[in-house]
Amino acid sequence: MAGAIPRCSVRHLQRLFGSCSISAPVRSVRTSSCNRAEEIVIPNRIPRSSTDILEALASTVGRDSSGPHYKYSDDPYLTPASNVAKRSFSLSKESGRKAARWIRDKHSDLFTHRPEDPFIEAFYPKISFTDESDVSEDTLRELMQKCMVSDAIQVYQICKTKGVELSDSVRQELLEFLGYYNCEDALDEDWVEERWYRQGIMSRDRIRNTWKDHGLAEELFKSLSHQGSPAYCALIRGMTRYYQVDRAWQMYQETLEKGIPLDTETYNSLIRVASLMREGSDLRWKLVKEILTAMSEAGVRPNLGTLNSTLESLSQIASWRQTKNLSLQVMAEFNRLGIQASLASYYFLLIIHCRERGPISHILIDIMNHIADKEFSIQDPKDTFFFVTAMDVCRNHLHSKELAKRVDDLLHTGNNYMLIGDSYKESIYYRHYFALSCSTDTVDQFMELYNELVPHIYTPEPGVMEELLKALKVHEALEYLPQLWSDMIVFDHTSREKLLMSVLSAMTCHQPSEDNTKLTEQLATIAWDLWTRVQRMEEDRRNKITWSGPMIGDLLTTLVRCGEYSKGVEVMQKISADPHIVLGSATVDSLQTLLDAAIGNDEADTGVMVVVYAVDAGHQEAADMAKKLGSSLTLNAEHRAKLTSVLGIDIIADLKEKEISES
Amino acid sequence: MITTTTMASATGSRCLYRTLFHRYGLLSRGQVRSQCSVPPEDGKAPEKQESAEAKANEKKAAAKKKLNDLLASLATTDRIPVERTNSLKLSQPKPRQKTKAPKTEAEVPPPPPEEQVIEPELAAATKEVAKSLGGDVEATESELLSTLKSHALDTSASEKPSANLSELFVGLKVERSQSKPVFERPRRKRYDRDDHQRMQQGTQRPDEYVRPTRVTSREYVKTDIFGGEPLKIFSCEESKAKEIVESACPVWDATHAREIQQTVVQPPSNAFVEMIQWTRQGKLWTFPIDNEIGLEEEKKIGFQEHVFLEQHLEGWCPRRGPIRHFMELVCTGLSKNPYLTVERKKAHIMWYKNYFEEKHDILKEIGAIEA
Repeated sequence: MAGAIPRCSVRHLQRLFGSCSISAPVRSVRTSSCNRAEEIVIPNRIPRSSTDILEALASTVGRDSSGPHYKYSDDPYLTPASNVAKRSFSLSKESGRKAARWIRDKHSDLFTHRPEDPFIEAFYPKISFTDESDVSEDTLRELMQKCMVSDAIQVYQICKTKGVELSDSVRQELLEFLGYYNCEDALDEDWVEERWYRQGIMSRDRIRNTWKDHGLAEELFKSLSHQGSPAYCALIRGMTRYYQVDRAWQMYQETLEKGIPLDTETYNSLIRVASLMREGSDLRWKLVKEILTAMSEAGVRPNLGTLNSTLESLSQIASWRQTKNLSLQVMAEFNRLGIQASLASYYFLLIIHCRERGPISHILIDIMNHIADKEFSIQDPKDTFFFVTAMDVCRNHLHSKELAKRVDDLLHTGNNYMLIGDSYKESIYYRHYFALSCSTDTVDQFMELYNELVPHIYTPEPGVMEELLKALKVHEALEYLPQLWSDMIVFDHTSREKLLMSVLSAMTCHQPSEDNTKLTEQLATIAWDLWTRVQRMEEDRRNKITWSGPMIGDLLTTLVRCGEYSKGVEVMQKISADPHIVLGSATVDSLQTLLDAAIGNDEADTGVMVVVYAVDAGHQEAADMAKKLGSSLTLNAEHRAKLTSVLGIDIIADLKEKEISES
Repeated sequence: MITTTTMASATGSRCLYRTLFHRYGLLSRGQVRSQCSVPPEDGKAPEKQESAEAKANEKKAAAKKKLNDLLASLATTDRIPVERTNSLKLSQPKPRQKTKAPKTEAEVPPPPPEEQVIEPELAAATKEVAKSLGGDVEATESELLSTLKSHALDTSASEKPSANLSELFVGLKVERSQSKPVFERPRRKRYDRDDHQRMQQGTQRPDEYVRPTRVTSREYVKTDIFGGEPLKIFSCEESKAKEIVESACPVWDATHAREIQQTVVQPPSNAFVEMIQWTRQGKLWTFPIDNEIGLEEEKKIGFQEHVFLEQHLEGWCPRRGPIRHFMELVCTGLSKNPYLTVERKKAHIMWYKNYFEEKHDILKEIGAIEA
C-alpha cells in the first residue's frame, strides 16, 4: 500500500509540473540528437499556491495500516489499541492544547513580546472586548469572519450602548451570522479531535426546536429599516435550521402576502422541514410539491440543495407506498434539470428503498454502477452518511460481500475517505464490513482483512469480537485463537463474560494431536490465563465475572485435554472448596473428562474429589462415576468412607458383591 | 407431621413476604399476595382474589420485574451447602442443577410419592407462585419445590428451625430479564428522525423478532435511478433563461460552506498534512521558501532607494573634504545593510546632518569646512 504511489499523487505531481510532463524532456532530448531543427519549448511559469508542494508530497504518503495514526505519540508504549485508549489519547492531546490556549487568553498581558516579522496572529491571545473598547462595523465584520459568535454579540451590544451607528448592511450580515449559529458559539475550528469524536453524539437528538425565540436575531430583524427579501430569507433559514417550524411557516406566509421573493436556499430549508408541518404521508408530500411549485412559479432556480431537501422529506415518509416511486421521479426531474446528485442524495435513496422490513431493493448496485471510481467532495452536510449506510445495506439488506468491497473501494478512491464523517460513523462502517466478511468469507480471507485493519485502523467492539469467536468455533480455525486472545487482552475485552464464554466454548473444540502440539500448549496457556485473570478481579468490581457451570466445565475440559492436568486439578480443588464462586456447577462431561484423567494418572484423591463434587452438584451420573472410579483404582479406607458418606451406600462393597454374585 | 410441615412452610413463605416488604419496601403485602395468589388465611378467598387479580393485571408487569430483580439479588448471595443426612434419597436427581435449557415434563420427574414431605396444598400454592413469576413455569415450580423439600427436611430434623432466606433462594434460578430469543435482529444505524422514532418505539415491539418474509427474491433487479417519470414542476428553459441571484444571504452561505468543510476535516494523517494546516493558519513559512514573505511594506520601496543614498547628502554636505569623505563611507555602509528600512537609513543620515550643524563653529575653526 505504501510502496506504490497512489494514482491521485501522480495527478498532483502532474498538476505541479504542469505542461512540463515527465516524459516530454526525454523525448525532446532524443529527437534533438537526430533532428536539430526541433526546439525545446520552455513552459511558462505556473503560479502555485503556498500549499501545492505540500499537497503533492502529502499525496505520496498512504495510510500505513501497520502503524499507529500520526496523531499519537511516536512511542510504542503510548500506542493505543483499544477504542477507549484511542479516544482518550487523542482527546487528551487536544485538551493539553486547550489548556495552553486558555492560559494564553486568560493572561494575555503576559504575552506581549512580538519579535517576529511578519506577525503571526494565530500565536497571540485573542482580543477581548470591554465596554470601553473602540469598536466599529469593521470589528464586527472581522469577528464574523473569524466565527466568534459571542464576541460578535458583545461588540454589537457595545455598539448599542455607545451609540455607534450600524448600517443596515452590517445588521443584515449579523442577522445571517447569528441566525446560522442561533446566537451560540460554534466549536473552534482548531478542535479537530473534539469534532471527530463529537459528531456521532450530536447527530442523535437533533430534531428539537432549539431556536431562541425573540433572541438577538429577531431583534436585529426588527431593527432593520427595511425588511426586505434578504432579511426574511435569513430569518426563515435560521428558524428552519433550528426547527422552529411553525414560526418559519408564518414568516413564509407573510412573504407570500407581501410579495417578497425568497431565494433557493430558503425554499430548500422549508422543504427540509415540510414533513414536520403536516401529519400523514400524502399531506406531507402535497406540501413539498406545493413549495416546489411555488419555487417554479417564482422563477427560482432549484439546485442540489433542493434535490436533497426533497429527498430528505421523502425519506421521512419512507414507509408510504408511493415514496419509492416518487423518489425516482424526483431524481429524474433533477437529472433533467442538469443537477448532479451528491452522496447525500444517494444516502436518502438508500433509506427510502432499503427498508428494514420492506422488500429487498438492489438500488445500491445501480448507485454503485453510477458512481464507482468517482471522486467526491463535500457538498451537503449529509454526504458523510452515505458510506456507513451503504455498508449497512450491504450487510443487513443484501448480504453481499462483493458489493461491500465495491463500496470500500469507492471509499478509498482519491480523497473520498474524508467523507467517512467522524469516528462514530467510521467504527460503525468497519463494524458492518467486518461482520459481513465474518459471515460470508472463509476464515483465512477474513483474517487477512483482520490483520490489515486491526488494531490501528479499527478496533473490534466486543459484539464483533464475539461474532468472530463464534465463527472461529464454527470453522474450527482455532489456530487464530491465540492471536485473538492477545488482541482481546490489549483491547481490554477480558472482563466481558460473553466473550470469555465464547473463548472457552471455542477451545473445547480442540482435538490435540501430534500435528498441533504448539497450539495445544497455547490453548492451555490461554485457559490458565483466563482463569487467573478472572480470579484476580477484585471482589467489589462493578461487573465482576461470575463463573457459570458451562464456563467452568469448558475450562476444566480444555485444561485436561491440553495436557495441563495439574492445573485442572487446581481449579477443581478451588471450586469444590468454594462452590459459591460458580453459579450452577461444572458440567458432567467436564467432570467425567477430569475423572478419566485422574484415573489415568492414578490419583484417587482427585477422583474422589470429583465424585463428591458431582454428587453435591446433583448430577445423576455421580453414581456411575463412583463405580467407574471404584473399579479402576484401588481406594483406601478414607476414600471409601468419603464416598460412602456422600452416596449413602458403599459402592465398593456393592461392586464386590456384584462381582461375587455374578461369578 | 403433615400439619406441622404445612404450618412451617406457610410461616416460611409468609415470613419471606414480610421480609421482602420490610427489607426492601418494594411490594405491599396485598400486591405480593395478589401476585403470588397465596390463598389468604381467612375464608374470603374467592371475591378478594378476583379483585386482587384485576389489580394485579395492572401492576403485573412492574411487580413481576421487581420481584424477579429481588429474587435475583437473593440468588447471588453465598450458597450454604446443605448437609444431606438422609442419604437414601440422594440418588434422586436434583432438578435445580439442570442447565437453563427449557425443561419438559418428562425431564423433571415429579416428587416421588413415597417422600411426601410437601403437602399437596402447599404444592398447589407453589404452582401458583411459579405461574405468577412467569417464564418457564414448570422449571420454576420444580425448583421451588425442591428448595422447599430440603427446607422441610431440615426443619423436620429440627436442627435448624428456620433457615435463612438466602439459603432458601440460593439454588433458585430466576429470570434476570424477560427471556429473549437468540435471533439477532438486524439493527439499522440510521441517523435521521425516522430512525430516532423507531428506536424509541422499539420497546413496544413484540419480543420475538420474526424475520420478515421477503417479498422479492434475492435476484438482482435493476432499478434505473434516473429513469423515473419526471415531476415536470420545473421547466428547463425557464430556469436557464432566468438568471436570478442565487442567494440573498452571502454571509450565511459563506458560514455554511465553512462549517460543511469542517465536518470533513480529520486529524492530520502525516507531517505534510499537518504542515498544510499550519500554512493555512499562517504559522509556517510558505512554500516555495521566499525570504521576503510577509514584508509587504518593504515591497513598495525599490531597490535603488536602499542602495543609492548619496542623494540625501545634497544640499548640506560639503562637496569635498573630510566630512564629505566620512559621509560617503556612511552611505556605503548603509547601502549594504539589509536589516534597516529606508526610513531608518535616512534618519541615520539626517542625524549626522544635525550633528555637523551643531558643531559648525568648531569645524570651521579647524578648517574641516570651507568658509
